[in-house]
Amino acid sequence: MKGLIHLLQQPASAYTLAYFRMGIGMLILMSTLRFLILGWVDLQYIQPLFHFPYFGLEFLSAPTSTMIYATFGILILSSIGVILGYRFRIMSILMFFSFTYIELWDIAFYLNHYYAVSLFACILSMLPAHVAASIDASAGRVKKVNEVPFWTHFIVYLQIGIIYVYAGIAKINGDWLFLALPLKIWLPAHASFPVIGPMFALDLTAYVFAWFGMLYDLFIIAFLIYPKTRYYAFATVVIFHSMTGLLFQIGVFPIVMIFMATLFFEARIHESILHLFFEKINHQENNTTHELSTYGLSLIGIFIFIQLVLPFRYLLYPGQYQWTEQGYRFGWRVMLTEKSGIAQFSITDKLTGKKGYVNNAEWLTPHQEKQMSFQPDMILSFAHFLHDEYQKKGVQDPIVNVDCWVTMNGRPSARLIDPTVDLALLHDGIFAKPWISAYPGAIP
Amino acid sequence: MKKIVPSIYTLIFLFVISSCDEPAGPAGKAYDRRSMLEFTAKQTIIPLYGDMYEEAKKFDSTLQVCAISPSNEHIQKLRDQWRALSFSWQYVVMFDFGPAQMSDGSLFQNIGTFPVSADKIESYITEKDTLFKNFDRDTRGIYALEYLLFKDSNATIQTLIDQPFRIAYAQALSKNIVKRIETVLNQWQGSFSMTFIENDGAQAGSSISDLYNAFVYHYEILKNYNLGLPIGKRAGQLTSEPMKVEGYYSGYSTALLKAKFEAIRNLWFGYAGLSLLTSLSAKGFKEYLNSVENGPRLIIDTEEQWNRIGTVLQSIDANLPFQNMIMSKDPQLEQLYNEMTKHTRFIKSEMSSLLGISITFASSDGD
Repeated sequence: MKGLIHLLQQPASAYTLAYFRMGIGMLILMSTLRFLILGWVDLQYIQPLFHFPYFGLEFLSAPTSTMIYATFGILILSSIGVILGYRFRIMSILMFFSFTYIELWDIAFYLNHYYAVSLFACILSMLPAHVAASIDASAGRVKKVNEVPFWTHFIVYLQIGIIYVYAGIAKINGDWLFLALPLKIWLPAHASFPVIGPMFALDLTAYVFAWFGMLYDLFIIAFLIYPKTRYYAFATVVIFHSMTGLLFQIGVFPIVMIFMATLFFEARIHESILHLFFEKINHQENNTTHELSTYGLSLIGIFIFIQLVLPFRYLLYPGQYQWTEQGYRFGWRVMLTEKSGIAQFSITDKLTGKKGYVNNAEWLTPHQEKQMSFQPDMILSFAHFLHDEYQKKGVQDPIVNVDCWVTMNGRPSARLIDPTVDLALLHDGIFAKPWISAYPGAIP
Repeated sequence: MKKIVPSIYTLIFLFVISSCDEPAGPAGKAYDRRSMLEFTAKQTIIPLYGDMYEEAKKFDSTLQVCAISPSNEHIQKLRDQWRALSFSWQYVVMFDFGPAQMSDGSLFQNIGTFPVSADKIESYITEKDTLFKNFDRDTRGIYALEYLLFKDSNATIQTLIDQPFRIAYAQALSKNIVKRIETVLNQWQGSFSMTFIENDGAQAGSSISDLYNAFVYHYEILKNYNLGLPIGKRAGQLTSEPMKVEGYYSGYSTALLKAKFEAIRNLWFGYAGLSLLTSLSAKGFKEYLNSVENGPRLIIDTEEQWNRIGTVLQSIDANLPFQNMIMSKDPQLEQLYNEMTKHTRFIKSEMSSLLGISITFASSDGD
């Protein structure tokens, strides 16, 4: 422990931190502009008549369109501030909160890589990432220094490591390794891919990708840390993420991970990149103190604890998490299962007994409907919404049932929810949901 | 170091290229989506649009004759011609993408909207407005023509003579239909078919995704709007609404529903021209499914379910108007609705899952 604390207090380059700051700022700026240009603000947040809130954060869901655009405005401005290192502390906090706030509007758009970016933005806002190569430092708002304690780097490396290793652990399951599922389903769809396309039709390719993917996730960090393998590892990172980026619609995720891998390069590389934008780096300048404050230590401690434990919370729930989805999110289960479902809601008037069926498309976009159809908490949210909507339309005390059939990794569909349960009477919560039907059969 | 990274890339590239020469595994060769798209475009979509265009033109010229000399005989001929037109429509309505997406809405919205609004149609006739510069799509298209021709079977000729603008409105509707079908057909016969065939990926916006989404969408239309809404299955509905069937005025409602079902089912089987007569040369979703992991199992489940729905439909008399069955609360309708609902798990979720087709129309990120 003493050794670790000693290591965390060692001097490390302030320029690596500045490089991290600028990289995160640029990634967020770029992905936000892309989001706006593609018209997704309107499509994902303004057009839908219903948004799926996160449990306990319902008050954050469904903001007005003014709020929506204002938040995107704040995000763009704050990310520019972060890139430049202008009023960094407040800008980075604004960037973190606005980015995360957007993610909390609708669970249907939950993505592991958005969660990762949120965490990186959160970490960044607590680090002295503006003591070098920043307007704040040039203007004298903050003392310009070349070195920062190593813990400020460590926490970033740790986060990257957790993402990869946990994604690797999640892949250690029978479907992924021994049946090459869902890759055996996903890859052949890309057989028209230029040059290498025909390979994707082979079963062998799916197995190679599955095993390589698992080993890659588990060990890439070690190879990035070890100087002798670092650049080979980086080449692998570039190839791996470019490949997944070309094959699957995963947006900016490959770029985020390729950028993160460059953080493992020697500080002189970060310095020479920053030198392109900022004044020559003066290595003679004074240094900061490197003692790890209680603040720093407790920050790292709490952070490590949450990050290590949170993905394992699924163990507290009965049933297989791939099926029940309980404890699935925030666990780095990246592109792990192929799921799709049909959720046929029915509304029964308690007074007259008249039963009718809901056309989900009246309220949900195809993407929202697809996501909801296999995620029980979203099904419950929508059921409550339907209860209120139909009550307004004159149905007396509506009973809301759902007949929901889900297919997982290409297996025959099975019922996800007990169709006799009145969902309107249930409440979401962190405890196990007994109304989720068990998966019939074993998931290897 | 500078040399290492390019060397790695080269090695991997060589590995990848050499792997292409390996013999295909048992799961086989990749499914040739391009050839399926080509088959569908050339053997099904273009001929069917062609058929409908011919029917629309025949209807239009009969209408011309009728406008000059309205007679019982001409009206009857016109009605027969409308019947042929509305049936040919059931076989193209699914191909409502590509050229069928027009600046003022899709072909389906513009010529296939049902039920139509009698009040609004009457009001446009009174105002002598045939410009169609409005969003009242329930005042035009095939079913607005149906209203004018079949609404009052005995008095139609007299009404046409008494109100000459009725026939002018019908002519405007008919011209609009011909023009739209002609536009779509021309594009398919021109450059669009190549665009369609070459866009052979599986992502959102690819031809297979367009075709699949259209297939599912129109299945849902059949289940929810041809069947569910008129029989009173929609949530919040207090009673059935038999007037909302497709083909209410003509009474061909049951036959039209059967035709639409057949067209959708035959698209899944990949029959050329969506006709059972060509079932030997099929190339479509079924064949595609047969080439993917777990596909053969899904084919069995899907065919069984098509058969269950087909059996219920077969027992229904095509000549009996659907609205009559609704009013007599025929128990087969409930059975039909349940079987059709059950089918969505196979053709909507399992099929999209196995084929790796994007179910969303617009692209979005996933992980």
